[in-house]
Amino acid sequence: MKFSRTGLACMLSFGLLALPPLHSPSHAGKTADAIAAGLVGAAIVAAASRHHKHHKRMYYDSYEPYPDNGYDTYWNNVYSPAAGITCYRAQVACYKANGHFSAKWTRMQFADGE
Amino acid sequence: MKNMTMGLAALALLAVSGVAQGADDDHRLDDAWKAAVEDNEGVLSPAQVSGLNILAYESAVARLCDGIKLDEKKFAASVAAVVTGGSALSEEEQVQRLTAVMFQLGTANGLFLAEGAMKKDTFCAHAAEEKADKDNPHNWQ
Repeated sequence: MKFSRTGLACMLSFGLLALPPLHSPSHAGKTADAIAAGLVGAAIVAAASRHHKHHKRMYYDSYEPYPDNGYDTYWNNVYSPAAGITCYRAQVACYKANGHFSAKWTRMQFADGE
Repeated sequence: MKNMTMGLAALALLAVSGVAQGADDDHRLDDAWKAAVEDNEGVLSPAQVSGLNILAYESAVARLCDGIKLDEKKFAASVAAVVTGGSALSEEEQVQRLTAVMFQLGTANGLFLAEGAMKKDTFCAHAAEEKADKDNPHNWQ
């Protein structure tokens, strides 16, 4: 299945949760399976990786799975790059002291790979 | 002196643990984000997730805040820019990856809508500041 950039952008931009087109019953089943795997499968693949059954192509190069029972530690990886700014690595987001998400600081901290 | 040192260490520990759990005065839906993120990491890079978070936030702002609208053409181009890559993936993996993109975008959009709706006045005032910041490229009109 190939998605044109424009088509994909439109699908995502105007329907945030729109699903990929299903071309035929057999293809639909395959696509639905892949979507289901994408929704819960990320968890399956991540879990598999933690048990060293790698499906590496689904991961970015520097990805390091957190260890079993290590999610809280992973989640609590928080830092402050400047006064009044709090960045959450797991969420990949920064918030300002006024309590709101900062697109500016999130971009500065994470958009270029941190 | 020893007691003072221990006291400072305890204060530092409290400060660190307080930060780790999220600032008490923020409007972040900590538990919802935590549940949403768990086991969805790894498919998309942090740079891609940050881009999707920003797009989801911009969309939420446009829906909640009077006077701020999306530039749909720029927004679509930004989505496409985040989505690019993955050419080495199989067809099935591409669908899984696209699903991860949609999941991240949709989930983040919903959470930002919820965070914004809880404190709409300050949420929108803050968004207006970010929109006016010349050092912050955005996809609003």
